[in-house]
Amino acid sequence: MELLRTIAMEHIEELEKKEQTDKRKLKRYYLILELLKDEQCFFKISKEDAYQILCHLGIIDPIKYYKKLISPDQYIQVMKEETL
Amino acid sequence: MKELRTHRVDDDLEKYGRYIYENLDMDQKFYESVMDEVDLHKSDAFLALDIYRSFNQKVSYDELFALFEQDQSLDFIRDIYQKSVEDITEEENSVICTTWATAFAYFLNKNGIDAVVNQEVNHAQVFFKADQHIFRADATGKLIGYGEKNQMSDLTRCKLGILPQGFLIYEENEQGLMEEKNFFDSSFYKSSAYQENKIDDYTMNILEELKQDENFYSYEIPEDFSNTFSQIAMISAMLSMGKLDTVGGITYLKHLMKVLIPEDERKKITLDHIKLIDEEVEVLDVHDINYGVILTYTPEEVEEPKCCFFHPSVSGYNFLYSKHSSLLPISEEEAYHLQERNDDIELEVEEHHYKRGGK
Repeated sequence: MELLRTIAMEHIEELEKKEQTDKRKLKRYYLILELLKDEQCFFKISKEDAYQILCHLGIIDPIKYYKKLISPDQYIQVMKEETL
Repeated sequence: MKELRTHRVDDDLEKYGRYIYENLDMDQKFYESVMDEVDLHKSDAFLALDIYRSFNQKVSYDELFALFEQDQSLDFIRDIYQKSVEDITEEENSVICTTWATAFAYFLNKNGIDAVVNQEVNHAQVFFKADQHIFRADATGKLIGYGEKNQMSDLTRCKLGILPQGFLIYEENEQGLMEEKNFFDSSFYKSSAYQENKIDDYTMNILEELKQDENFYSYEIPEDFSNTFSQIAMISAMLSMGKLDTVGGITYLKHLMKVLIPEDERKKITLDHIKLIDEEVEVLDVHDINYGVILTYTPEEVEEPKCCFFHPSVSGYNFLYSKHSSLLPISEEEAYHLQERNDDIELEVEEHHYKRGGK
């Protein structure tokens, strides 16, 4: 998740540097970054939406990456963290 | 009845239910095991929440009561229904809605929080007053329900460490009307010094905004052909890591299916709730009966489905979930035999019941 947040941040910084930036695109990445702040967001949203987010972040094989993100270890970890 | 429900803090709690019997005496060891996890320095509402979480972690829903669908014409189900709070111990920790509600009200009363048990139709829950608000607590209500958002009761959610859904508060909305809210969505919670978690809906709101962007769905995702089997394997792994009681495990299984398996594939899966008993048992004792579920995945349509009467087909790939194992792969023949065995057990229970003069 940390890596995904860094990638989203890089997209934002790159877009903000441009003189004529695509505001819709910038907003999209801000929203994605905000969404990724929730450690368990991938357990709350549908697989199809998750794939799209991963593609927007430039992940080449979103299916494989998604499976890693929602592995049992990861699931239990985020669920436990929520109530700590 | 409803017009009395103003849900204002000056309401007399007796409008919502009955106070529990004053002289109840709970097993001291069990009481202490629940209270060990509770921070007594918090305000009443958060103290009640701590007790709610800790208590729900320590009790399980009664397997037989769920398995026989609460049929109170059966004598052993009536016995469970009449189980006293005084009989709950660390070892004998099964509850149903009535025992749960009475015990939770007991914990609240013991800690100086005014609480009553509300019993209507076939369900019991707790109403209480804390920090100038009326609350409703119900940990057994969504037990094996098919709600859109949530299929797990708080007995299961609290064991997994997930936010409870049955801890509710009455709060005034913008129109000045009293509204029931999940405690974690309430302004009381948001403005509280004890606030500890993010709000669930926040993520969904951002996603909704993202979906407004017409370029959001711009990527074509290749189809994942192998996924249902790998997802069943993942569900099995999660079930064994969750370390839940059988009833909790079954609701967790349903929840995981909804989260991990796409709707099109879910339609090819059936769950058959069955009664299990060891083959060696010769004389039936209802307490030897266990709750099990046969999960059948049928990827292709079958011309002549194999199944017992009134049971779903077992043609395809079968897995058994029970207290003995997570999702255990079984053959079609084994699944069919378990369905037959379930029907035999039901007949034996009926016979046993007739002999004792029931029904």
